[in-house]
Amino acid sequence: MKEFTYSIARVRAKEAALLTKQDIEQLLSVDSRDAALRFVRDRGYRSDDDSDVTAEVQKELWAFIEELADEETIRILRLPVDYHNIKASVKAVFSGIDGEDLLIDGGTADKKEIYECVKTREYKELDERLAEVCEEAAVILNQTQDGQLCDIYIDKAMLAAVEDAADKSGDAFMKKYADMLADTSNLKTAYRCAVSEKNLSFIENAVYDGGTFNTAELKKAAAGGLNTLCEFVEPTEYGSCAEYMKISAAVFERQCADEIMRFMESARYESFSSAPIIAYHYAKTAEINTVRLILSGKLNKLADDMIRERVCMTYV
Amino acid sequence: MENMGMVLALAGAALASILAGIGSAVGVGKAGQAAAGVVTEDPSKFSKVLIMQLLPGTQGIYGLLIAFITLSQIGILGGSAEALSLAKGFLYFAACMPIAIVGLLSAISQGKAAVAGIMMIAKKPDQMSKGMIFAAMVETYAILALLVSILAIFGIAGLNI
Repeated sequence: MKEFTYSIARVRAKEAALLTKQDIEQLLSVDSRDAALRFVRDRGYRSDDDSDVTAEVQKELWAFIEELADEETIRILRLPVDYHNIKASVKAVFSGIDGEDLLIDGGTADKKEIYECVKTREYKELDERLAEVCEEAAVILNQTQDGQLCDIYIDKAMLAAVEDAADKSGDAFMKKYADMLADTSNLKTAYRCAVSEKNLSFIENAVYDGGTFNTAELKKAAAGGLNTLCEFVEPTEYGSCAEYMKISAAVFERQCADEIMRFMESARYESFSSAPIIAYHYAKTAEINTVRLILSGKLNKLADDMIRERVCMTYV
Repeated sequence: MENMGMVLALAGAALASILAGIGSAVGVGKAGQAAAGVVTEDPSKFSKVLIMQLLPGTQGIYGLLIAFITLSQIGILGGSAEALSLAKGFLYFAACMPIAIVGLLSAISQGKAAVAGIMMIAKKPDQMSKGMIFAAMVETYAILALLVSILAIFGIAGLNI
């Protein structure tokens, strides 16, 4: 088993600078976007670009993670980025817009390479699996002109790739993380299908056949409506999500993210495995998303409560 | 065969210093990796993590001490070596084993505790003393083994076998 003592010590030192629950509360309580910008700048979000102060921190995060572990270990973190870039590229090319601004760094494949391959329909430069997904996603979108079906296909391909990477690593923490990603993704899909009263054949295509749920039963429950879905979820380890399903989509999705964060917290007591590296990446990414959410809420003068119900729990 | 007593006693002394030394090297090495990680991010914590890194190093010193005492008792150190009975040689060998084995294992364990303590310092530098106590607890068992080895070696010297 690989040991990451040096890397984890660096992670622990960095964790001390993560925003705490009190920091987030303070950020929520400031009365203007300028004050919020000053607050986050004091806490390391230094960027010349006021429209996206998190961009620099995101770059620094990837640079930091790359120094901590080998590519095989952090592959599980990079794969969702690849599939996001595929989704953005396929849709941008289909709509005939320049989609390069929608792409993000950090994937296993270069973002521009993915975009170019999708644009030119030449996938030789890409890894076989990514090439197959790009090609198939483009076919689905062109044939059906349904962005939702394309998203479903790419999301399922991403979950399968993450699950394979976790299995290949043989690391129990990564396997559990991959399972939780699949489970929360399936829950969110099932919830949306139940709320929008989709039929069983649509749900069967939408739900990913992986993770810890009995997916055949989950699909049937989703087809039965929100109450049936809640009854199905209640006795599972995601039971707490069921009560939030009844409140609103925003709090339910936040609860799904919080479930993963609670699992990530177990890495706080690890000193040698790769778990704290994965957990730090997840925690910092969640922090960046929270900062982005609050700043954009302040910019659009949204009510504090509306922003607060979407803010996920912090790692520290 | 007549030198087997001396061979066994010398093997005991060598193992005390080798095994306890290996344990300390592994423990200090692990703690050193963690210390380097913390200092990479925050160089001001150097002195704090250095103290933690040194903790697993004591077992190596205990092993060396036992090796010295044994070598001195059997006359190799000082140049007055005489033939040693097989029984006495074996007794010296056995006397060296507590610090050899406990030294090896406790230094590795202490190294792990020191790593955890160093990571605690990275997040909460004001809790350094607690981190030191956790790692120092492991030292108890190395000291007990050292004591047994010392008492046994001095006891053997008085035996007429």
